Amino acid sequence: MSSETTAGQRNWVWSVPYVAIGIFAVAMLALVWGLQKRETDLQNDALGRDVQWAEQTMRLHMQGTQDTLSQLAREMAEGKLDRGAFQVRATQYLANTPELANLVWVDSGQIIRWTAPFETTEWIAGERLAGAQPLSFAQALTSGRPTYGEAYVNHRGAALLEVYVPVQYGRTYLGALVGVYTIEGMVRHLVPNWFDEKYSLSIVDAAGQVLASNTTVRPADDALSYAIDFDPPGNGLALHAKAFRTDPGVARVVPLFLVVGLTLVVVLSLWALRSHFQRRVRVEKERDRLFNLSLDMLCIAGMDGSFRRVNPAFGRVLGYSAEDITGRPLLDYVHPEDLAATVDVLRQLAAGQPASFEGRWRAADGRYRWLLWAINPVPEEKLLYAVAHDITDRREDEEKLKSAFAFRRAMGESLVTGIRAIDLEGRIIFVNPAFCRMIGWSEQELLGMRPPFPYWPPEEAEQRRRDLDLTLAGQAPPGGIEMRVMHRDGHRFDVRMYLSPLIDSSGRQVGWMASMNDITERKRMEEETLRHQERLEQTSRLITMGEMASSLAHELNQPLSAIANYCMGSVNRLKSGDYRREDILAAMEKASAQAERAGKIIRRTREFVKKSEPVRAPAALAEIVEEAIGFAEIEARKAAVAIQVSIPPDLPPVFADRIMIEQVVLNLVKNGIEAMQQTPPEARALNLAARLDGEGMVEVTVADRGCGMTDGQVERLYTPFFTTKAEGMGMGLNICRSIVEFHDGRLWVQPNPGGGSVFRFTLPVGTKP
Amino acid sequence: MTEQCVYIVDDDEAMRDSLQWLIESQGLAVRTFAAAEDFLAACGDAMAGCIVLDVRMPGMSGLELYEKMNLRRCTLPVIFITGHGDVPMAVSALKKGAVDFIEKPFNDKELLRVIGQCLERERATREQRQREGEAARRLAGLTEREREVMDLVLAGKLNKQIADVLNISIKTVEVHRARIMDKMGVRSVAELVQAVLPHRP
Repeated sequence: MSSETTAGQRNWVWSVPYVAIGIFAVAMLALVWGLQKRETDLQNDALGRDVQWAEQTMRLHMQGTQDTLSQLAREMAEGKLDRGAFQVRATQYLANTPELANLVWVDSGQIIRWTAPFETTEWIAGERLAGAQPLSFAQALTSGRPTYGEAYVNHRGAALLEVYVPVQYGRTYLGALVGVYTIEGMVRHLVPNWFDEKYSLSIVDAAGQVLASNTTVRPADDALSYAIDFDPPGNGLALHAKAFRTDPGVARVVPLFLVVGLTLVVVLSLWALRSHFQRRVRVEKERDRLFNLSLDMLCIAGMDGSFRRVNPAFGRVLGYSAEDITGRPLLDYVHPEDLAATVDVLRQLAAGQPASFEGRWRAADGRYRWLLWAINPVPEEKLLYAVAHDITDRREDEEKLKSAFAFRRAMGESLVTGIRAIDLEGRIIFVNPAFCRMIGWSEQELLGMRPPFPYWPPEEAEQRRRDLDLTLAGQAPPGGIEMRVMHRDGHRFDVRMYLSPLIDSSGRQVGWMASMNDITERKRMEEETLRHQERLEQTSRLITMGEMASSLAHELNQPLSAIANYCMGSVNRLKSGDYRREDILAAMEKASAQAERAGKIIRRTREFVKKSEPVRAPAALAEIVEEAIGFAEIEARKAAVAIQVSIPPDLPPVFADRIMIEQVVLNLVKNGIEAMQQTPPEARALNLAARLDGEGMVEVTVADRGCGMTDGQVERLYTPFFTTKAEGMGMGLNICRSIVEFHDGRLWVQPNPGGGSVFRFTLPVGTKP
Repeated sequence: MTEQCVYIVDDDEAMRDSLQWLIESQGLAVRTFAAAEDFLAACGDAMAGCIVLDVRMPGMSGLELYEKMNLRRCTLPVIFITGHGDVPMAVSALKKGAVDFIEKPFNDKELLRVIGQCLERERATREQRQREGEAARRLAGLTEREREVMDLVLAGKLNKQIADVLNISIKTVEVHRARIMDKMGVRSVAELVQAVLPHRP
């Protein structure tokens, strides 16, 4: 409502200048009109005066002529003037008065006697007066006074006026002197030049016909004219004067145009000013609205750093009202730790440079908010215009993000597990330091790499490529992939890689995350353990066997030694003859008791051995071989030996103790591997084959490419404790042969035609016991 | 002279008994012990002869017993009887100074021969030790002056030089010398050297 009122007021205020300008313009116009009117009046007055004065002058001239004519008339009447004198005087006079065309002496009989100048053709001596002339002549004679005739236009077109002056001697009228005026001459010569310049003067007859005029130029209008009767000569003649317009109409119009034009200009400029002002007001209003509505804090501060004006956002963000804060120095609200930086910023602003900075500001509740300030100084106004944005939330988020990131980073760096992420095309998009450490390539080098990756050992690149394809197809085994990778320096190690899909924030899969653990150590340990265990088993088997043999020997030694001692003691006594029969008898009894003891030992041992007798059953040779090779695989891989197995699928089962035959195969395979230590790696091949021979036996061949054997070695091959190996005990082959022979088979060795040895053994086919 | 005896230490009763039977057939005295600890308990300076020791025994083994005996400065020779596979054990025993070892089953003649050797050696060692003991005893009987004179004599000085060094007359030196020879029970300087040498540092 108030805005309506103010709008009304403003409209009223706005109309005032227009009204004032209107009044001013009208007044100016009236003034101009008055002035012009006054001027016209003055001109009219001057015209009147001038015309009267001209008429006077003309009359005076004509009076003079009348007087001269009267003088001549008197002299004629007295007879003092003859024709010659008349001619002289008349001609002389005519020469001085240009308006006078002729002087003529007309006698009482109305006959023209004398004319001057004598060369005139109008008035010829002896002729009678004609037309209206006799009437004027008669009037002059009757009245005895000079009389003017009617003005007329002669045959040449010249307007003429005649004055008749009677000549009387006593009472006798002798005639009359006639002066002929050319009316044009009157107009031209009887008024001075200045008059001609100012006015157009013309003589008009009673009918209004213009007889003559001093100028051929006719004034533009009749606005300024004056008419006066011309008497004498009378007869309705009148003088008409018209003023030449000394000031042209333009001069009169200019002020008018000026007034109107300037008024228009003023009105237009006022209107323009008003619209500009309205626009300004609108803009200001908008700005105010923006200032008040802005979510950002807006303020104006003095160069001294005190608030001059703040917007309501200050209240929303910091909780201060505009009254609280206005006039207070802004440094009062700055966090003590940011104070120094803020003072620096103020200094920079004072130097006229705009500034932008972040800082903590105290809110009314005592807590601090993070504000991002952008301040522009206006040095000429000594003011700072500032915008502040509350970035506390952002800042907190940032801090959270930062700490989360730092935490994640620290976590990532502390990990010993290598982490690698690839996108859906297989390009590396992330690696952690542990991964870099493991393979010896830097993060910068790895990022963006596409397969084949540099840590794929060339010999396994195919397999790695297949693994990667599986991964990208989403078919990676959940238990992870065990693989061999290559360090930058070329050494290989074993890792286990677990894969999981990499999902971005929108839940879309963008790649695959892989964690990689170095299992070399574990593998080595496993191998070590396995080998250790194997050796332990082997050793323990040997120890068991050795112990058995040893304890058997010891056990048997006791009674045998005792028997020998008893015997020899008896022999010695019998030889010397120094003995007692009972003593010898007792010793012999003791010796036989010891022999019995020895027998018992043997029997007990037999029973023990019997207990571990093998169990034979039908078994698939392929399975036995597979299991045995499974045990030997680690060793084979380490020795870079390729094991090829060719067992026909239709091979009938063998009748054997699985475990024992497995032992035999394992033994032979291991022997083969060890025999090839000196063979070049590419030639290290172990062939394991089986076939059915013609006698119902399955023949198994284990062929190596090793060093082979000399004849002497072949001869001693099965001797216990004979070995060609540095670490061997020399029991292996012996046991193998025992086992094979136990199975009613045969074990023998032949040289391999291509180098190395071929061990063969046979096993019976079938299911029979 | 102390009577030599063969001490048998073996846990196997039959072995012990049969060994005793065999060794006694040679007219030697035999004492048997069923365990190393028993022998150690009976062990003393009065013992003479040799020990036949089984390497493998429950409780204290033969080797341990041997070490203990060394600690007690018991110098009786030891014959180890080893079973099959005890060779390394026997080797280490030999390195520690055991006289001999015999592997079961053994030849009775071999055993008796080794026992004979050991007894012989033991007797020789014992007599040597007794001689040395005698020399030490005589040495202790010399007076201070006689010790000085003897030292100089052993250093190869003449009587005159000795007299000069000790600032005594040659005659006195001769008297001392004669007494030293008498007390030490020797007839020449060479014998004196033999008798005294083992006791010199």
